[in-house]
Amino acid sequence: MVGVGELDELITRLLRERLGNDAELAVRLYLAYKEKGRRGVLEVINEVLREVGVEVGEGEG
Amino acid sequence: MKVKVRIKELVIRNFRGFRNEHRVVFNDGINIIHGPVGSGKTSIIQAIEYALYGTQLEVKERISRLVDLINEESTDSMVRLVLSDGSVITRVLRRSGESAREEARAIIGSITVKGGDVDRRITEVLGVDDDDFERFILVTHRTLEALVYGSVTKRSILIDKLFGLEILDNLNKSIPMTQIEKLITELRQKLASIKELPEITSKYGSIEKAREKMQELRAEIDRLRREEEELSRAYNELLSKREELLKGLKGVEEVYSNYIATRLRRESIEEELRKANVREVNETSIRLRLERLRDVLVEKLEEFALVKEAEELGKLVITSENLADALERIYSAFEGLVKLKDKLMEDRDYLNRVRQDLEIQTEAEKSTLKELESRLAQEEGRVREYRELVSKYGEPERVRRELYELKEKLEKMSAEERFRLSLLTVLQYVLSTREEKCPICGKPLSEEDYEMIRRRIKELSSVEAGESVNAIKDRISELERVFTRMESLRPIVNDYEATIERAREIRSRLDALITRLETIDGSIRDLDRRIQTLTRFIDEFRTEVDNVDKSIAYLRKYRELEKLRAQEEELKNQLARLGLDTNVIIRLEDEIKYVSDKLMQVRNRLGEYSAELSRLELILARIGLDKEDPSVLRRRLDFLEDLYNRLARIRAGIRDVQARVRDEMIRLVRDNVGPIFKTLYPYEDLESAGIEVTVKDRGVVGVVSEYTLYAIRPGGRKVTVSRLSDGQRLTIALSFLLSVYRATNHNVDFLLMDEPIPYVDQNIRRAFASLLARLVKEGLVGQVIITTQSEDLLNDILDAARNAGVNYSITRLVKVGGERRIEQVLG
Repeated sequence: MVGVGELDELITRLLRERLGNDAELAVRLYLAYKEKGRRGVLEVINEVLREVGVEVGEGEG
Repeated sequence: MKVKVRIKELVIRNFRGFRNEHRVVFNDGINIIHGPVGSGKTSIIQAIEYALYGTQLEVKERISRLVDLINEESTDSMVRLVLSDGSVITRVLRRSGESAREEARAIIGSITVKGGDVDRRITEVLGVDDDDFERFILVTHRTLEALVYGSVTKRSILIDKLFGLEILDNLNKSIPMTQIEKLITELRQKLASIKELPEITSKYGSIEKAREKMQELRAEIDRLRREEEELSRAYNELLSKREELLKGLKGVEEVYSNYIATRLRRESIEEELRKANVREVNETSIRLRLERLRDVLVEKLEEFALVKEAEELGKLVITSENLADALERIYSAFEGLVKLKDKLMEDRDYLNRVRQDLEIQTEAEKSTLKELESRLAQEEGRVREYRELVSKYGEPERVRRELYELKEKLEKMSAEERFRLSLLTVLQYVLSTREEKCPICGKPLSEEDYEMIRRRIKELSSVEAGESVNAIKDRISELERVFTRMESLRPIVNDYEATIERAREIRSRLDALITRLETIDGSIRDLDRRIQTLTRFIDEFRTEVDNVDKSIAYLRKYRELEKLRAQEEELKNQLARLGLDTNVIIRLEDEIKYVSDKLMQVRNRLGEYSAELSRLELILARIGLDKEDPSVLRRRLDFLEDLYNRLARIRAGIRDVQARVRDEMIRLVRDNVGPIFKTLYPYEDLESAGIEVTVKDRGVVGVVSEYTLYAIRPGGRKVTVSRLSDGQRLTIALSFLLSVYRATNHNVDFLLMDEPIPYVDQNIRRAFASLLARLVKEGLVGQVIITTQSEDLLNDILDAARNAGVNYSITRLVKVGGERRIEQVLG
């Protein structure tokens, strides 16, 4: 049986198992998408990109 | 265990199309909400979801906004939902400009919660969040249509959604790979432009001058275009003139064109020879040069042991007729020599690599040797000390033996001394106490005995044992110190000797390496010499071959020129006979040629200038106005490339995770589909149902999962859903939905069906009604709330419910003018 929130736990656990060093970013992207959709994903990526002073926009792929 | 929750009552005020306050009571069993299009059936369903979660599917999908839930003529709306466990949730929405403010309040288990806590507590009570609710509690016609009639792809997308996997697909699509790729490409181009910049500045002086040059080029290109236009016009006029000249002269055209072609060819060859400064070509001289080339090459081939090739070439006879062939054969033999040179160079490269390896080994050995020698130098003092100790005291074994013997001796002497002292004490005691009897043996003591005792005491007192014992003790102590030192020095000495041995081995290896290096150096020098000889020869020979080749080509041209001159004379005579003045023709053709050449030149320059302009425009545009440091750009590019690779790995990882979650979900659901199907399907021709997933690689599209829903005939044969009747498909689809519903750990005991099967025929309608009644009767779900506009479906559900003995109620929605009313009939 899968309870509320358990699917998220399963997905984040599997992401951590599968992605090693990239897992932290993958989980951040997943949770951001859950909360805010594509806008959330772009926010996370832009946060990463801030280090080199570029950003991605909502209008493009 | 928690009590499963059903819906008891919904009160709405100014919600969507409903003005004022309305109340709907829901019972266990089937609750049918019936009404025409636009009467507000879906609004009732939306109100339930909104009351529970403060959001709603259409709002989440951005089809509408939260503020759109407020009746358009009102400033606020209210929704109150009462659940079977006594929970009451009230949400009030107030219009605030283009958006809406919400006040939420709930009484759950006699405790009042407000605001954001309401959503959290409701999720806890129901055990499903809004996403789960939309996945398997809220069934729409989209769900059933896709499951029953959808293509494999459509069905698979829906099942992934039901399993909660769609989100992973959407997440992958949301990662802006294209944008990052574009940023990377732009940066690469920018960096490339920066590389081209020094070239531009060295060519034009500065960026500003390059920009000026761009303006000049634009002006020049405009001028050339005008010139090209004029020349084209002049050229076309001359061609018309030529056409006019030939008009009316029958049969002249072919002779004329032959004459012109011959003349042009002749002039072109003459021009070529003139430019090459060739006045005369001598066949004999070419033959002699070829013979000299042959002989020199034969000699060289023999020198480099290409005997067979030399022999073959030596047989070549050169005449005035086979000059070109002879050159070809000489060149082919010469290529053997070129290949040999390449081979020698390869050998030299190989030896150089070996030499490098040996040098590395030599360096390593030298460095090890140096390290060993430094260790030896460090330990030399202690080794010397050890050797001095050995020369003074002997080997450690000998010292140890001597120590042992001395200790034995000391022990013996100590015992004797102890005995002497004891005896002396006893005798002195006897003498001092004047005992009558010996205190030890009891024998009576006479004066003679006492005399003997006095003598004995004197004897015993005169012994000086102390000195020799001390001497031995000193010796033992010295030897022990020496032995300890030797023991501590011995590993150092052993290591020292092993190191000497190792150093000797390394020296010997080093000598061998140096010898090999010298041999290889010798071989490389020899190869160098041979390669140099060959290179010089090849260069000189090739130059001479090229010269002879040119001479042969000129010879051919000369021969052709002679023929062309004769031919031209003949054609000129023919034209004269046909009545055409060749002088006029020549003038005209000269003009045509002049204009044509000029046109060609202008076009070439136009092409050249346009290319230069495009290049300048591109580079200067890329440079743009920003003057960023290339190292910053480089760092940014590295960062973006790294991020791109990380995201690509993450996307692949997400796909893997999706497959694993899918397996997990299939495992959970698979065991339920069959038994639920068996409960819902009363006939004998099918006995169970199931679901399978296959993963297929669809090339560009990527890896996709395809789900197959199937039924099982008695005997175990599987039948895919596409081969079943509509009713059977519907049963499998509902069985699957319910199996997802049951595989999830929640406290919900109701299903909301919003117009689940619009526009279907009577058979499906009845099958569906019967399924609904059956799933409630069999206790698969306690309450169903279904909306429909179909009077027929309403009647079919009522019949099925009555036949199955299942509770039902009807809520009729009536639309009168702009007003909506709710009328309720309980079954």
